[in-house]
Amino acid sequence: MRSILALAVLLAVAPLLIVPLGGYHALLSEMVIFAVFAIGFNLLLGYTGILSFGHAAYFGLAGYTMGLLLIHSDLPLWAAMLAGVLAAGVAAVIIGLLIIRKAGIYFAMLTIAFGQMFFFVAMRWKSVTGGEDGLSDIPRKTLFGLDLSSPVRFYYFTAVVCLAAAVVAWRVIHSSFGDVLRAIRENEARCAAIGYDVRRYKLASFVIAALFAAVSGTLYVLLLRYAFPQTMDWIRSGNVVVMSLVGGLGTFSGPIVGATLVTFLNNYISFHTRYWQLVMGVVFVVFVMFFPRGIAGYVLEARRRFRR
Amino acid sequence: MTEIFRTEGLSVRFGALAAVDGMDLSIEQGSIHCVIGPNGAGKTTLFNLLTGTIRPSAGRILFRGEDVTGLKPHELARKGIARSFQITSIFPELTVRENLRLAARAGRATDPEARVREVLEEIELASKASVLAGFMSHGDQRHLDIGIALATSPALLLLDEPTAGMPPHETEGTVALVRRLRDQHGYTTILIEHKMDIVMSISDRITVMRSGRKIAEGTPTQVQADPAVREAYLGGVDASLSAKAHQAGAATEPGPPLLTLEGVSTSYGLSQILHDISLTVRGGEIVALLGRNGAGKTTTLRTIMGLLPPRRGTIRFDGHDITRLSPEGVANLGVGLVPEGRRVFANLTVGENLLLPFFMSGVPAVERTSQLRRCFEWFPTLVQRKSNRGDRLSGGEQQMVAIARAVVGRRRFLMLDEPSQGLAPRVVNHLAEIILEIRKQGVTVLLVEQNARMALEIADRAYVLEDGRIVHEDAAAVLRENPAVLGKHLVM
Repeated sequence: MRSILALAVLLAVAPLLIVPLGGYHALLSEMVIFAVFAIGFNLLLGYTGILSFGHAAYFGLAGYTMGLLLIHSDLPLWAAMLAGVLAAGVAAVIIGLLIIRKAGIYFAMLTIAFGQMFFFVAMRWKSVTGGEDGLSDIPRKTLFGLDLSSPVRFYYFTAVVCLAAAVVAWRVIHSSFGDVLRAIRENEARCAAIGYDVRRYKLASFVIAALFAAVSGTLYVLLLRYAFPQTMDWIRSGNVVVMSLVGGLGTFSGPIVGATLVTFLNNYISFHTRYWQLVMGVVFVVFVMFFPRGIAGYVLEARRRFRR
Repeated sequence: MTEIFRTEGLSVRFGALAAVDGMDLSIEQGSIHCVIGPNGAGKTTLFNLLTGTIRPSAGRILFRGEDVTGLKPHELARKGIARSFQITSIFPELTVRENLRLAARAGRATDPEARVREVLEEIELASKASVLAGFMSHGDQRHLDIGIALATSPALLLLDEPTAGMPPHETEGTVALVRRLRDQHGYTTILIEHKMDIVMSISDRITVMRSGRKIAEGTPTQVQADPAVREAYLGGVDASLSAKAHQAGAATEPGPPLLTLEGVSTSYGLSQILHDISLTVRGGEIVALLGRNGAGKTTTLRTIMGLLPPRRGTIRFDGHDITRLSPEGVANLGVGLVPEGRRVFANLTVGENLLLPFFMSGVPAVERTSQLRRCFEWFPTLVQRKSNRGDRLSGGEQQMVAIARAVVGRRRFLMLDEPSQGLAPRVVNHLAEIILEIRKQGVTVLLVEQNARMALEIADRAYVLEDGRIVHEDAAAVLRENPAVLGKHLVM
């Protein structure tokens, strides 16, 4: 639980640190929002060993669903968020059931295909989604009477959600369910041979990651008050893979470190050069080639050695 | 005695191959039942059928009177059928205790921790409970593999070569474990095993398989006396081959040593496979390398080819030290390997398969055509098959393509790994003639064979491997007439 406490403290003091670092509060919110996405994605990629390039679809689907409900209905914010997350969850169950029997590259390709379907629906279904223009001027209603209009207040809202997400992930990782996920990553055939219905566990992991992505997606749309097709593009799905790798696959703190760092760097570098994607590409290549275990992976190992 | 498990006419086909063909098995409660047979007999495929990894194309599986045919692996595991694996299958990045706990929970143990403690004691790993499984020795990992199966509290235990790759002192521990499980805990075990002394001492009943079929069954004494079993392990040849071989053999005079191995030792990860192997092949010879399954024959060929560098020793070919040479380097010196299972490219035609060796080596087109023509002269049956895809060929034809592909491009030395595997007797004869013809054309041959009779008919000399060591060396003609040595090292 020490990691959770450390995270709580960091989230609490972050607004004081971000401005001297050359950032701003909305950027901090964005970093935390992507941390939520990456925490869930890490359960799928890092712990279960399943690579998906399509989880931005659930990120975007939840954002669009919530946005539409906020614009066209009188539903309170919490209900619209919940509806968005549930819609994404249902979509993940259906798609997961269809593709979970495939493995490796075939599975990854199918996740891209299904992800891009959502992207194209958002692009083409102009009357509902606003097409390329997206949904703009989404009202940021009050949450249980709480006003979220100021950047700092909104940040603390995302920080609380992020902390909750981390606690849920912690409990999943340290449950017997989490043990089975790790066992599937280690040796799927043996896992089935001792009596686990591997497909069901993989599906569960897939859907849990989608739910985290969905929560993250609703926050993101609320932050920008704007939903656009690129929220579900496969490039965004790829981005969360990068975050997970840079942070450290299969470690608890890895996705948080990776998501915040990559989001910050993206923002920082794109402010200074038009070629920021090139720079990020180089960063990614360096990590995959020379630091495959990610930042958290190396920190953990260094600590283990130090204790000996 | 009560029957706990039976199969009726269990069969599975892979394309044209009947890997398991009409197996009837009946297993008594509380017994150790061994399944044996030469390489490629279908033993592991049988296990895959019994545990749901492969679906049978025909037949039934009955467990405690219930029809369990077609159930998935996890469903069979929950019914109480647990298996260990031929190639160690554990969770390497979890601790030993975590490995067992997963299995105990999967087996719905009322108190998983207690079950873990029991199994830790049973497999004698209590002192290593907190060690990461992947960091243990090979022998400990083999025991953990069995332990994972045990922790699910099964009613039937399937062990696939539990002593594979173990040195003798560790083997004893495993045998004692399997025996204890029957004698003290009443476990029912089906066991695949190649070490015949173990099989004979531990089994209540033995089923002998060959080419997917049951050819004999009974107590160890009954099976040992069965002539069909001896035949299965030594293989067979036509009488006509003998005459041809002697005719062909008389023409050759062995040249100077072409290939020499001195004190070669090779390991796969933690388990040492070859111990101090020394052998010589002279130019123009056919040398046979014989031995039971798992003796180290394939490993010897892979070591020579540079696919698996040795830990110790030197390998010389035609004056060059090739001990640390890459496989391409070895190939460029004129060494060809025909791997076990033939590995013909299924999507390429016969012609394309044969031309493959030229694509990389920058051979001019004229040369390529002449090489291909030479190839078809040697293997006339392949001419009509030139445009057929690799997967449309019979087993014998695939073997021809594999050999042809290895000898084209000026190979001087050819290594063949079990070329007769899965071929009909008539085809085996033809194959033997082809090997003789290749030698006549000036190619030296190192032949690994399960069909010892065939190999000894056409070879000049033979080495016998056992547990990674050379235990016998003799002229083929002498060894052929020495049933004591053949029986001891090759049969049971």
